[in-house]
Amino acid sequence: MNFVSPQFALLLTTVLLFLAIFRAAGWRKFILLLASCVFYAYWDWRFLGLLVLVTVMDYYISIWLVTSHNERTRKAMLLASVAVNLSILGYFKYTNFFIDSLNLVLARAGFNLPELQIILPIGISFYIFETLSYVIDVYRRHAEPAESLLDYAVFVTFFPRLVAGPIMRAAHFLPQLKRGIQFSRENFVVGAQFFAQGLLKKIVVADTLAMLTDTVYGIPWVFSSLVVWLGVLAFAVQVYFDFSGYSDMATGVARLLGFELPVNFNLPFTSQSLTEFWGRWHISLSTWMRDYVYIPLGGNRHGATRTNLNMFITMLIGGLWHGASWNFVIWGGLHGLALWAERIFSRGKQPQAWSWPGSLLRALGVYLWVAIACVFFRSPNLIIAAEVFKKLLFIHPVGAHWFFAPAAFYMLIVIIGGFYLRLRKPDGFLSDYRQPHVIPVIAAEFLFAFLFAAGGTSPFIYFQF
Amino acid sequence: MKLVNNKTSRKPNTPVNGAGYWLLFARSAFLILLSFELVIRIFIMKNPAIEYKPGWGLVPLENSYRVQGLEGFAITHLMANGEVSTPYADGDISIVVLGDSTTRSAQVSNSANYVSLTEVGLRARGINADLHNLGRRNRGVADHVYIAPYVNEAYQPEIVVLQINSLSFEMSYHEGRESYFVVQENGELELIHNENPHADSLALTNLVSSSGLLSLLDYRLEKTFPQLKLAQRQVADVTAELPGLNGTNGPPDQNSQEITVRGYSLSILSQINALRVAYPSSKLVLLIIPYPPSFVPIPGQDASWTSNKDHGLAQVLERTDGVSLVYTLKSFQELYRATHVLPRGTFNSEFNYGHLNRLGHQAVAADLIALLEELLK
Repeated sequence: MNFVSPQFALLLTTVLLFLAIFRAAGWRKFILLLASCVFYAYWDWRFLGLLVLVTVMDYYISIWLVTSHNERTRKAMLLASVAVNLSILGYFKYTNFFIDSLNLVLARAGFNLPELQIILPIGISFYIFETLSYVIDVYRRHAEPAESLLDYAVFVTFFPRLVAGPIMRAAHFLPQLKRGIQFSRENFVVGAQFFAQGLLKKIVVADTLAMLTDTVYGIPWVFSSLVVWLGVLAFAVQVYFDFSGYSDMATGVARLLGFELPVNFNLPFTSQSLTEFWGRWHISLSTWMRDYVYIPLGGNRHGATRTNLNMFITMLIGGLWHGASWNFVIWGGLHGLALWAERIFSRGKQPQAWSWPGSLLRALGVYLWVAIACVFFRSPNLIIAAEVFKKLLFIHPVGAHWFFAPAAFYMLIVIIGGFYLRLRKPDGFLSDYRQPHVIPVIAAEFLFAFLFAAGGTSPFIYFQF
Repeated sequence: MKLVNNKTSRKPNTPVNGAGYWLLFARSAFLILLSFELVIRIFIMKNPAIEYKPGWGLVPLENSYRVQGLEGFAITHLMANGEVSTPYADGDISIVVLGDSTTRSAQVSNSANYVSLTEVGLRARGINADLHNLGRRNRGVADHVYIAPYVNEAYQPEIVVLQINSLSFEMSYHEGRESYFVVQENGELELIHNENPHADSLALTNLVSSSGLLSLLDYRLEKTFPQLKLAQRQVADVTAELPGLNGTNGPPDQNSQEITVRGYSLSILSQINALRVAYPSSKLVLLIIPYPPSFVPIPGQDASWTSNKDHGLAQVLERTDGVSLVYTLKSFQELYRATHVLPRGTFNSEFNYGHLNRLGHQAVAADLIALLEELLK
């Protein structure tokens, strides 16, 4: 069920209505759980079973982890949970990738393994990472286990962020659940503001940019090099507005229900370095990878080379998390190498002071690199990626001219607007929900989104992960 | 200056209560709506007020303007009978151009559309022609036949240019339209006309047209919830099958059965005859502006310049006596070869989609000038 659909509006209204009627904490949790199941089942009810399996298994393992005092047993239980979770993710997401890759090798010997008919359950990468972090945190005694299976099920299935994040930690969510669902005017206004902002980002900006990028990445050989450059630069902005728009909407819906979600994006295109960029882009994933991959690999505790290698491996895994194809592995690897190079040349120092035009040029450099690396992220396969790079490198520069002006406009907005928000912090305008202009402004955002929505609404990019 | 702003000196806003709150609320809402209205009516959309004129149907008021910025951007000046103004308002030779939204061309300025360019081009060649752009959205052959007496009376055209495509013929058989044909038992066509059923909601339509915001809201509502739109526009955008095609209305091609080709041709030719009868004193010029091929590979489909219905239509009309044909295929191909710009699509529309852009209009005008010059020699 897409946030931008009448079905979702109906579901949300119904949930709010029932939550208002049933005030007992247990009932409210049950309503949330039921709504989340309906939300998820709307795509494919069969995968609810998978969700139930993961939830029940990890809940009881976490209880065992808390009650058991035998370290070997605890470790065995942890490994079992991690193995099952990763096996589920691996089977559904990576089996065919593995078969395809194997076929590349076996083809020379005349073998060809058939692909399996596997449907990727939506949101599996997100909820598996959440359940993994829960079990690991409980094992490490960094987090208390959920008080009941119902609490844990609500955490895993919480529908505003079930299918595309932000990736939540139980330690962040469960205390809020324990405190109880709180309706307030503040939550309503702030939630609506977040949702409207996300809606604008998604259906006005991202979907408009998709008109350019879908075409350029669909038939790159048709266009001139300049058009392909515009499409490549536009895609980085599109994916930012698409995913941060989704995150804003998820935050808004959660806030309407009285919950706060972690911040997922923080003006990434104002970053002065790639290191800073990854601290501002998909923050919930970056921090997850840091805590559960990079640090366990050794983090920065074993010298510069090992640190850089750990970072490279982490980025490779991060790339693979996004999708089961070599495109994503290359995308992650490119970012890993760039981070490695950046650390060598900057000697670990990050630029701090604002300077003109240095800061702007650094931000543009980061943006340019992110956009170019995104060629692998967006291209459906390596053949298309190669075609795009031929155009970018002016190997075949001639092709159709098509200057799609809204793309240039939104790219300017993201750079100028980003720096304005970062430097000026106009935080007083909508921060006080009691001010009389706030509700008209939010209503205007909804109206604007309706009036200026792109021709068609495309699915959120991160739904495929 | 630090990159990270640590400004904390801002005083917290004091909440406003009671009547003061609602006063400020109303002021904010008013200012927002006002700014929306200004931006929309200047850059996005402002429809002219319309009136009902017998025979002509719902037409914009004389000397009104339309702002259109959703596809391209232009301010269109409209004259009597909904005519799009051209550079010259007088001349010895009256030429009427009938067509659909391609001819109306709200995406480019008046002076850049092909009718205006043709008028200017003919004058440059010493032909004192006065062209009348009567393009209207969603017009079919039956509409052009119905309006003929009024056009003949108002403009006494020496030449009538009809910008048509395969859809113009197909939609003319649809009963839901304002004007449509019925095939009688003897094979003749009978023209049926329904008075515009929306003429009585003129006041509401004009109320919506008075505001850019309401016009855009109406447009979006129509796109999103067709059943909820505020004001009625024109007849439904629907098509019907051409009689005699056994359920297929594709162009004649090498693989088609003989009967299908004959049926298609007969169906077209009977409508052409209706046009000849409707404009007895005028030379008829049929203008076909084809769509460029889709560059997106679609399995099983030939995506060439000549694989569309309009190419089939042009093949039929090429062999038709009594009408002159302008088919801009070669000009469009030449335009793309020379400039790598396709004739359709604007700076804010999808690639290769929608109405003609400036270069497309130039290409059409060049072909039309050549033919009209030949006819008027």
